Amino acid sequence: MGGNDLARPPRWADALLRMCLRPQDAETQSGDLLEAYRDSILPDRGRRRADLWFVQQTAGYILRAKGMTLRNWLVAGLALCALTIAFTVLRYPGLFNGWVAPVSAGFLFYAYVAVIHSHPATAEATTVLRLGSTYGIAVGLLMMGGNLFLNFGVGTGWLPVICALLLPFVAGAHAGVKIWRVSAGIRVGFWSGLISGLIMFLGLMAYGYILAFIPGIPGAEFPKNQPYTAIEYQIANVGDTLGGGLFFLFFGCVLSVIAGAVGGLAGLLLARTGRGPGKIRRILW
Amino acid sequence: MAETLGTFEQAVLLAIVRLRDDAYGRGILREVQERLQREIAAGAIHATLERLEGKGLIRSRLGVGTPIRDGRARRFYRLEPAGIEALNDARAIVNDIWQGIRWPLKGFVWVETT
Repeated sequence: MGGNDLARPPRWADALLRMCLRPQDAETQSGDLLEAYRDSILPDRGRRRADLWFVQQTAGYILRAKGMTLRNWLVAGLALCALTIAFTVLRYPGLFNGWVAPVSAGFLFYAYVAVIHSHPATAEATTVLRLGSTYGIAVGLLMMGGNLFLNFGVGTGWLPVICALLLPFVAGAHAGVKIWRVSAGIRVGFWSGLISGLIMFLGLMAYGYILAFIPGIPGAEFPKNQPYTAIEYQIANVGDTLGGGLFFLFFGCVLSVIAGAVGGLAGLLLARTGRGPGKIRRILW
Repeated sequence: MAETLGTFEQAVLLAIVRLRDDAYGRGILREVQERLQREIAAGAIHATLERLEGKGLIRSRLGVGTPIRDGRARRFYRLEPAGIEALNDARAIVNDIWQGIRWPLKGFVWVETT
């Protein structure tokens, strides 16, 4: 038995995997993954990339968890956002004045799209949803990570933020080239924007409440009037992240659609370059 | 007519046929990756195995673990008669639709122009 046999994948990922699997599958399926990690992935790729592989596989299991289709994930995410807003409105009534109608309309629109259009009927729709979810998760995590880094004073926090801003263009180009339609870029931009918006909203709201109730964490907002009460301090922080979260959830999606359209068109134009006159394909919308 | 199988389902069932008594998750994953010549997510294999078992095409039993998997149990799979029938049907359909056509195809490239 070699030294690799004793190597362990990230414990948190292994624990998360076993927690997400059904009890009757937890032992056997996590064992298969552990065996693959030790017998081929680790020797072939080295420790860091093997750990990354294990985390990716775990994420795949979570996304495929019984009954958790994309539609259910989206509806669950939207419900969690709506509950968070309801809780915030009840706790700090003055915070949401004038925003109830447009935000409710936005949520109803997202819920309609999530229920009706997130179940693909064609191969093209499947590809669009797959690309949209993958890029959406990546954009959301990069943007959230970058924001946290910047709040904690890490100078390189701009890097993930810039990557997150560029990714919707890449997503649109990827979809455009793969499906050969600009509209595919727009649709991938929409799904990517919705999913990243949900991640950002929930992440920012969680951060806002942590800031509001645990003073001293970097990135906290302070009320303008001095001296201020504890409630005013909480409202400043929850209100700040609520505004940011809603911006990402709604305007972020609009920007992502525009970026997807531009990326889709750019991708198709790039894919056409260098081809002979007889082989140039027409750009389809 | 038995259950209609997709390409990936056929690859998983044929891996079970090839591996015989050694057909458990990790072995099936390796076999399918080698045959399809691409990386496959382990979750996709397990989801397919669950689906095939739900359709009654395969059945499973638990076996002992090994040190490399920290003693975690293995689930071994074998084909049911319905699985064999489904594979035979899938092969017959492919043979029928390719009948009379020489493989590999040559000289049928369609180029879309502006």
